[in-house]
Amino acid sequence: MTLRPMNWMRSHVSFEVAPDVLYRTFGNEAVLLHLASERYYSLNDSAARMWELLAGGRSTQETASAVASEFDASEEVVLADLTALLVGLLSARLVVERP
Amino acid sequence: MVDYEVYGLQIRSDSDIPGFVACSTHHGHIDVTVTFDLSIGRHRDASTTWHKHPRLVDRRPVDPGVATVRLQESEDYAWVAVTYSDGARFLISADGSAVQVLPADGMDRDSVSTYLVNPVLALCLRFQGLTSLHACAISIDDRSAVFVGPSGAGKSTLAYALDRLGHAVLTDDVTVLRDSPHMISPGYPRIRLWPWTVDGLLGDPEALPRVSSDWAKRSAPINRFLRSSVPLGAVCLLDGFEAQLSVEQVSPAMALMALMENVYLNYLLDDAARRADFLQLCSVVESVPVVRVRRPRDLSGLDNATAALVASLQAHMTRPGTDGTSAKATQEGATSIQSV
Repeated sequence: MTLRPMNWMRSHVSFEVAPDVLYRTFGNEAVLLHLASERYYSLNDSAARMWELLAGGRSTQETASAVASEFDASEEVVLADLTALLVGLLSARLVVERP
Repeated sequence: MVDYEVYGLQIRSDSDIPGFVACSTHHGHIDVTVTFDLSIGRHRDASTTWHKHPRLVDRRPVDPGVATVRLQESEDYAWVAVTYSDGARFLISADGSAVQVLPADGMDRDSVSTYLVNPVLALCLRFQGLTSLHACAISIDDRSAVFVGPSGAGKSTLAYALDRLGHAVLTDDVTVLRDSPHMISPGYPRIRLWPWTVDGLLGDPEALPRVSSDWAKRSAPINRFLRSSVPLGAVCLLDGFEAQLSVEQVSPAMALMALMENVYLNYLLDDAARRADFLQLCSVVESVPVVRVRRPRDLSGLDNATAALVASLQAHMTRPGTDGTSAKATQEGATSIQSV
């Protein structure tokens, strides 16, 4: 069952990279290739950092806290960005929720 | 037997391969054996049942002007049959170490070899675990500049112009990436040009001979051909034409996506091959500058534009890279995922 966006932030939900996705982070940008659809996705600086943390097994809460700290941003703004990013990643089947 | 060294492969053939230049006899390991004479009982087709290859499928949309290709696998999985729509057929061992050539009825050696020297050898390289780009490679100041682009991007025209300016052309259409740091191995000393390009360059489309009787492309000799590999210095993405030459460095992420699109025979590849290419190309974009090049289409200014391009590349190849790791403060709406 897919959690509703707000639940991603309330609980220690984490995600993993879908098995048919290749990715690489270059400094402050990242490239994702979804093999099944043969589509590429690029992530900008904060999104790339969020991706790196999520792909490394960090929970949504941990990711939001880390990014807020690293980018000197309010957690409220980061949570909104992270939610939007996860909606995009899930709809493109680039990540799956960890069981 | 005739021995060749092409794309870093030690090749032994039972007959001359048009366009290739024989080298001294190989005394060590042979990477690929090529057999034209199949009358002596080694003909795999006669004794093998074939089925559609489960992973290697031509995924291109049908284009009446382009030969389609069908791949089959032998019942013992040891061989792959590659059949073009004009009937040319090649049997390649699954480890890429042997090729048997079966021309279509009436097809001469020159015609069947147009397939052998590029796509079939590129498949052998692929089966041996190597990535190839749809690119020409030129040695500039003892480093290779690799010019990447799809058919029609002007790779061969540029190679011809660089040859005319005295630079050594390593490859015309296929560039193999091997080892790290990446070394670019020479192909064979020929450049293939469309007749209208020859007309624009030399004033007469018949100024150069045809590659084969059934193909309009012309064959130009390379004046300065190297026998040794040259370390990779820069990658240039040929990105169309505009009035003035422009050369701009692109980010590693953009470069990676562009290079993946220009992997040779990428329309045939399965997921395992694309994973390997992805890793190999990540290594490339992390190790050398990648620039986007747009240049004038007008052939009358080709030499001047090419000389300016060389000067720009020399500057890029000596400039230290930037790591681009500085983080910017996030702002509302700044985080983005973009489908490319």
